[in-house]
Amino acid sequence: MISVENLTYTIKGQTLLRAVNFSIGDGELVALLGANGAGKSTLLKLMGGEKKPSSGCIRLAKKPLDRYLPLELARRRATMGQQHHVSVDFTVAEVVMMGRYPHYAAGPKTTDHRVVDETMAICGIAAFSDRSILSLSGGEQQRVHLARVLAQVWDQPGGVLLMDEPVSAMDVQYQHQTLAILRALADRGYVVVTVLHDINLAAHYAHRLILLKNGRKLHDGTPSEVLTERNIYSVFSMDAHVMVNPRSLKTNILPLGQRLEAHEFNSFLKTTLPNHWVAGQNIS
Amino acid sequence: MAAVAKTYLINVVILVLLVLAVMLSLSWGAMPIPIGDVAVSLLQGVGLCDDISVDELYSGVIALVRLPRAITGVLVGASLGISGAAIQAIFRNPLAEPGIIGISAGASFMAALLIAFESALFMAFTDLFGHYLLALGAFSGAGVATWLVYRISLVDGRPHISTMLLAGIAINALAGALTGLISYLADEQQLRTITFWMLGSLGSASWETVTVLLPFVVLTVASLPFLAKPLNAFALGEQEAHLLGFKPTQVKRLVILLATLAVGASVAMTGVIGFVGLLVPHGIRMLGGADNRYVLPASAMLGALTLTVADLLSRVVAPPAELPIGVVTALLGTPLFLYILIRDKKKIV
Repeated sequence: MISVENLTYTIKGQTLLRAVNFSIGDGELVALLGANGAGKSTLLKLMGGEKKPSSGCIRLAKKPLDRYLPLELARRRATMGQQHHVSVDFTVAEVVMMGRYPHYAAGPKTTDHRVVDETMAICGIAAFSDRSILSLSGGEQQRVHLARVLAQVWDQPGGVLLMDEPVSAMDVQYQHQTLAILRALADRGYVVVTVLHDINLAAHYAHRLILLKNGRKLHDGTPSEVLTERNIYSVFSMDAHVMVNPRSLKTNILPLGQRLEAHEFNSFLKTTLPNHWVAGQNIS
Repeated sequence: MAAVAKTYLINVVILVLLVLAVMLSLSWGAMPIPIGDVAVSLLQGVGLCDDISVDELYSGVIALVRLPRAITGVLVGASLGISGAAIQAIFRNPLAEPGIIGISAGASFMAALLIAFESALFMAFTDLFGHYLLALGAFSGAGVATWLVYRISLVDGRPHISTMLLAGIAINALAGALTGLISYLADEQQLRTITFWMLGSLGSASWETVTVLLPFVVLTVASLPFLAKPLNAFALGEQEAHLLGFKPTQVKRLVILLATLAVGASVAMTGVIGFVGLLVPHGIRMLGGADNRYVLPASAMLGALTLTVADLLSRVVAPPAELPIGVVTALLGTPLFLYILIRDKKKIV
């Protein structure tokens, strides 16, 4: 269980999060949604202990986060960051084994090898365990980091997984597979918090959605409670049609799209362009 | 598991080659000594084989000249190799080397300064006092330059790696310019001494050199491998290393401190020896992978081997003259480095 109490985060005079409150119980998969710059990643970093709150408190299993030693925290909370660049030519298996570093001192034990094998298998990367991570595609690399992060808390029931856009580079199959894994872990008692941009993916797998805007929590509830056309417009400034998927029976949204009118587009144009390039000029 | 066996094999091979290279460097030189006599006189040194007789001249040359020189080569090579591997890990940059944090440039500046002013202060650096003053000066130059680079790189009290890289380049340039200025003002003889010092040499190695170097090198070579796990995690990024329970700030401080001690002491004793710290870790990673549990100790051994071989070559190419060892390592190292570049270019495509 992790609770966020009256959390505010200010840096260089900018308040990125204001008085955010919520609590997530064991066994919950929560998706954080919001526009770019809403404070989702900052919130996740604060929850993972990467940044310190300006005021307010975050508790993990009732104990304030700053009372944990880094190693103690690393054994029960794993964070998957947004960007990964491995600077050295490690093999896939070596990178995944790094997730086990908090659990052994000198050399990996049998458990560690087993966990690495299992997480590589579930993430579909066992076939390239001996290849250099730098030789993989972006989506494959992301799956390697997913396996590493899962390995970190794989044998820690009640562990916490904090995921920042974990599927941003993956194809649609692995997007769903990843969320299905996270959901299965939540159903086994893990606390899972994930930032997602795909609202439908969030609505399908999450128990609960938290919608942020400008550093404030705007909405918090189950997908069917939170995902109203009004709420979506308030958070994303986007018109959408909300429906129940007739096959999955999950809430789905269909964005209605946007159109940049000719006069709006032209108002951005400060460059001199050939006449027929200027929007509206050449359209009958 | 196969990978573990492979790295084990690589270590054994390097160790065997190192022993061979040391034996050869004890045997070859202006006065050739049969390798059998080398082996016997070494064994007699540890109280064995007392019943076999060896020419006293041979055992004298080995004990007083060649052995301290060989050990100095091993110690300096090990320092450069292992420090290079650790520095590359904290900089997350395969082109980093110990010199990047100002060690060599600071040492060179102080050495040049002392050499240029020596005539005003005392007779020559051939005497023991002069030699030690030069070493002490070079060591403190290395320390001050690294400390400056470190201080400049602090952001909110923590070393910021890309700032450190830039600060290192700036301090290197400044120290280089000052060294150049001193060289410009120096007379012919001083200029020659400065040039030779900056090209490195094991020629002045003695048992005193070994005694001075040993504690620094042993400390560094014995401690850095304990940082293998956090240094591996650095490849993911400092933040990720922190999330895995490590303390990146402490790791960076320790690496910089240990590298400065070992490389600073080495540079002070033998002058600047380039390319070893940069290339040896690359070679090790090409051979057996990037895991620092293997890379750190293996880089120490390959560094020792490289320097022993380079010193051997520097002595036998044009006897009785000796090529500066920095020239040999660069001549050997550059083609290898270019090979790595060209090979990696294929990987990029």
